[in-house]
Amino acid sequence: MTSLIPAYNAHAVWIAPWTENLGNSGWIAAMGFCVGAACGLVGNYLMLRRMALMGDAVSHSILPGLVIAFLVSGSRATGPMFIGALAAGAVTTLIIETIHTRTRVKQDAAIGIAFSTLFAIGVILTVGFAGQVDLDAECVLYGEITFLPLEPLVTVGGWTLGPAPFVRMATVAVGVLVLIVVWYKELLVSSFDPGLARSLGINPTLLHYGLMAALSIVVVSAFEAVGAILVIAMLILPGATASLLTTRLPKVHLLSILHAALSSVLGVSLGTWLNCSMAGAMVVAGALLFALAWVASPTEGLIAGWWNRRRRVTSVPGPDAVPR
Amino acid sequence: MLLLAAAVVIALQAVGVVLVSAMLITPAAAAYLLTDRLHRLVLLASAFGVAAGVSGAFLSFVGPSLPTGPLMVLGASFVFGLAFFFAPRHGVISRWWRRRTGAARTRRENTLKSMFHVWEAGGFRAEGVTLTELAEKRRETLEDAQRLGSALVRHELATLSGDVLYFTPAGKQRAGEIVRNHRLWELYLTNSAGMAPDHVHEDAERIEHVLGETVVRALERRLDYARVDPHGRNIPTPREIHRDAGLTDESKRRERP
Repeated sequence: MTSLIPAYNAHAVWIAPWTENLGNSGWIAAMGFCVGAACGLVGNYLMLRRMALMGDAVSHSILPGLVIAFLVSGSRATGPMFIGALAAGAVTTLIIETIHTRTRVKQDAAIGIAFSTLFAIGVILTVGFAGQVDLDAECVLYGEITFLPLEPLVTVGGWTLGPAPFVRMATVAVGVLVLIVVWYKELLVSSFDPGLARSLGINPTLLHYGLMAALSIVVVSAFEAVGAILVIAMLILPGATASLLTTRLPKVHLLSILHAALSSVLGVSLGTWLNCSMAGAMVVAGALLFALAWVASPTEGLIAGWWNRRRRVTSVPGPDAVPR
Repeated sequence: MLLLAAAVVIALQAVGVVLVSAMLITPAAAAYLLTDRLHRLVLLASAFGVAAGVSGAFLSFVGPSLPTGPLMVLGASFVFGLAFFFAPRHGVISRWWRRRTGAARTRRENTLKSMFHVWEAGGFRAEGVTLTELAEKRRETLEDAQRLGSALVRHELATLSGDVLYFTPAGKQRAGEIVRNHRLWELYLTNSAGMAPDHVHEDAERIEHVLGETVVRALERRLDYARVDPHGRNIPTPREIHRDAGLTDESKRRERP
């Protein structure tokens, strides 16, 4: 066991990452925060619309888009990758919508069919053009956030903004935030009551595709840091935790951003202690926060539920006390 | 769930963690489009799964560096694609075709109904209905009436000589049935469902095309073989509808007591 779990050293786990190693772990935590915040904000709407699986679908079916974009453009620059991801996301959404509106196959099965097919195409392309594609399957699936501080720094107008992937991710996170602020009302109405949205002149289909486009962009920019599998956790965990604590959408957004911040900071500490994948540690920290909310939430939590049930049982009058 | 877990663990070695879900879902979804019976669903789904696996393995031998698992998944997706387009009842093509032919049939039946109305308004005296009368009745142009009339001629529901449409026996029977269905349903909605007589027409316009003989018999029994609809018009009886030339005589006799 001692070899599996390294010795616990409070200074190395809690203090050192934020003092001596700030240059490294600071960037990692900031990157984790941006990924978590962007994913969480988009994920809130996925959860509200009962489309949590769409995150899974899009994160996998982006692979063929990336490979084809790479084969066409010959580079791994941000532009072609974003276009490939957007196209793949749109194709996935289109296939899913077509299958489940044109036949009696339900949406969950349609999601499974669409993303596995596209992922299979992606894998075949990756293996088939193995010599030309510089895509590491491990990296696509699990990501690597630890190498972040080694990336070249981006400097704009004399200001050092940070490593390139971080700048990209922060831009995406801010973009998502702006989009949500601008279309807050439309998203709110169409998520809770598509019929009302349609009668108010909002096009739910357009909004759906817009949300899927945002999801594709977020997923592809989070790829590098956390990979295709952990991005699903990043999409769902903040929203799931926040919705246990409040029922107001603005508060859900704020709490999911807070969740992203806490889980990235805790994740860095956890990852330092266990000397493991930082992205994995962040997701584990996020899951621990979710478990905490699940147990201790003042309204929905297990303890509150048990307490309320107990109080109701003791305060309900027995059969003898039935009023005349 | 235990079986599912066992299947996933066994399949992991063959196709990998992500593609297992494809082998779980896709063959079953393809089978779901082809049959409505559970035992056939199970048999078809496993047959599709086997076919996908075998074809994927075979294809991966063809090329130098083709992965087996993804090819199996693509095989399953191919089967699903075939079912999606060509399934006899739930496929996209057959659905589209059914909707198209259904719309055309509804149009023909509405033309027959208009012809019947014109014929009825003339006291069943005239032998045929002119295209002008039909156009006037349907509030359409003469060209539209011509088009509708030739659709009836193509389906041998009417004959056209000059600009007069004559019912064929089959056409006359169908026209009577449609009018009967319409008025019977209006009567049913007012009498048994308690709807106001001026609200029942729209509903009857839709249901008249889909009522079958058994439902009509049941309706007639339930309405005590009523002869008059809520708007005071005659409901054609089976005898009138099925006896080819009889409709004219019967109705005439009733009209002149």
